[in-house]
Amino acid sequence: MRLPVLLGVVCACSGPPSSVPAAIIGATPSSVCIGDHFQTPIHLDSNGSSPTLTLVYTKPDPDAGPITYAWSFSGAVCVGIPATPSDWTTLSGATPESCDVLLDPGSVDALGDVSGTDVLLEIAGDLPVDVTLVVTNQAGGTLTARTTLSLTPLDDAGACPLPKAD
Amino acid sequence: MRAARVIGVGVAALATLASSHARAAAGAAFAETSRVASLADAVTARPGDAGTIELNPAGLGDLREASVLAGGHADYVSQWFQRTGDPTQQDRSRAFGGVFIAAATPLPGPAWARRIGVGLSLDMPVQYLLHLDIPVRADQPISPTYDSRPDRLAGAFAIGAKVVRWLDFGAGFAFTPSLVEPALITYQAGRAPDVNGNVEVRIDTTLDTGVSPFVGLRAKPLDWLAFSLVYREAQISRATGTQTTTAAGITAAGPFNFYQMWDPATVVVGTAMTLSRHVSFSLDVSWEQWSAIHDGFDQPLPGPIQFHDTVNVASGVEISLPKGVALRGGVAVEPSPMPEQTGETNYLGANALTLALGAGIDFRRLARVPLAIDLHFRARADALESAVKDPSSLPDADGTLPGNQIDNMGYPSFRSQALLVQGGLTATLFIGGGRP
Repeated sequence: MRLPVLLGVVCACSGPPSSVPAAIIGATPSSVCIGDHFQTPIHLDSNGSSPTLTLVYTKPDPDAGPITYAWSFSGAVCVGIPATPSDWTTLSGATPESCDVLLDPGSVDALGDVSGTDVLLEIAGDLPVDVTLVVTNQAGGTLTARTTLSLTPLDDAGACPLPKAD
Repeated sequence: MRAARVIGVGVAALATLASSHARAAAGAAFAETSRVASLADAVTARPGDAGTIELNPAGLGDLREASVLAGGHADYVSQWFQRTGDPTQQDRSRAFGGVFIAAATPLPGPAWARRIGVGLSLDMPVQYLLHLDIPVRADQPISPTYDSRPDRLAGAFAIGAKVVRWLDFGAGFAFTPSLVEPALITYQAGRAPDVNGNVEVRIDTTLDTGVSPFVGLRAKPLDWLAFSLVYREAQISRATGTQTTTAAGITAAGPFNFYQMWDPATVVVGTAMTLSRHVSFSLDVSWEQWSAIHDGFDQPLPGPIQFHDTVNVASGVEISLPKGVALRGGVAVEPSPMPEQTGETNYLGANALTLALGAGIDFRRLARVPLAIDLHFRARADALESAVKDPSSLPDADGTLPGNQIDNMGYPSFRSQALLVQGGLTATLFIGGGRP
């Protein structure tokens, strides 16, 4: 039974709102083997992001102004390099109880924010890591992109089936 | 397809108007009248009123006078989800509420007509008319009970009759909204100075109404004993349409069909006993066909993750005190319809216990004013849910890589728990001068 008289909304508009940026996450590699224990470097890049979201690709407007990036991760996030676990800290500089994500010190600013276009990290490989990127343009528009760094179980021989990084 | 689609028709103006798998005056979750809520919904064998027409329309055969009731409820769900190894819990708590209005009356005229009663009711959530939350990621944590279930408009109409002195029968329809939302995307070169301005998006939205029938019997073989039998069809909403894209003579059309089951088909067997002049007791046992639930894209759930049917038990006690005062209490036990979440999905929920308390004053006895006020407080506590994922049952997240990639949001295991607290008020205006 249809009672279409209850609500009728017709919206005609031309393209998306101009204040919304585009947020793109690239992850290389996008998966590590279970139990990787911070051995595989992962590169996240957001260089495909732009100040405006377009339905049809157009070259970014050079006058659109800068965009800012705010990265966040699921799990316990630490800062340091794999070779020196004793120097690992939390984003606030405290001694960590555990780490699921290890951010390269060069990817973290002095305030403990992860706000660059590129992020280098390793993960423990105990649980998948959800990555969230919030891009904000000069007009205040924001868009959020999400991806997950997945885990790959070892094969029957106990080896990691993923190709080794170059 | 990694973007969540949330269709919400929010009508802020409605906010100014005045279960468990619990059902309200018109069928919306957690929106019962205070009398019903404080008896834990165990009312199908009790005498009916305007607030029970969807719970058992046979109660309309008991009406002695017309009445109009209105009320509201405020709710808060405290719910968390935590993946093992993740130091932080995801807080999924939220507040919601709703208002309702219902009216019922015996037909005027000769004695045979007065044995027939009719009623209608309307439940309105304060935030949404209809809220379908369709996670495009199948592994996104979802609470079938709390996420969007309280967020829908519902209406009901019913008619009941006293067939013989000891038997009432009733039937009715519950109305549930659905969305039809065809979208047309076209590209018109030269329409605007910039290329994006040439893209035209046109979305037509229509709110349709689905109908779910319900029928009920109420037998009272003895003055102190009554029985009930009720069947309610499942209440389902859909958001459907076709997205058509045209450009340079090329047309691509893709249908979409989103699905939300608010309540499964239900059979209720109930009894009510008047234990003394002041104390009455009621018990409802309901079977709910949760195995018929589909996923958000209207596809049956695969065998290992298919829900199973449940049997719920609810009981209520009412104590009548002098001067029209009544005290009420209820308890309900609801097994979870969900299997352990070892596979791709992460449905949140567990066996639940509901405790309710309430009180009412009928001012007809106290001050000869044809008005009754009822209040209630209810808590619904879910047991702790925990699930350990079976890696062999998780889908490959990236078919381009060797091996089986796992990106499930609940891997390797998770825990979750919820608690709902609710308070509500109902005012009933009696029209016709009858005595309580």
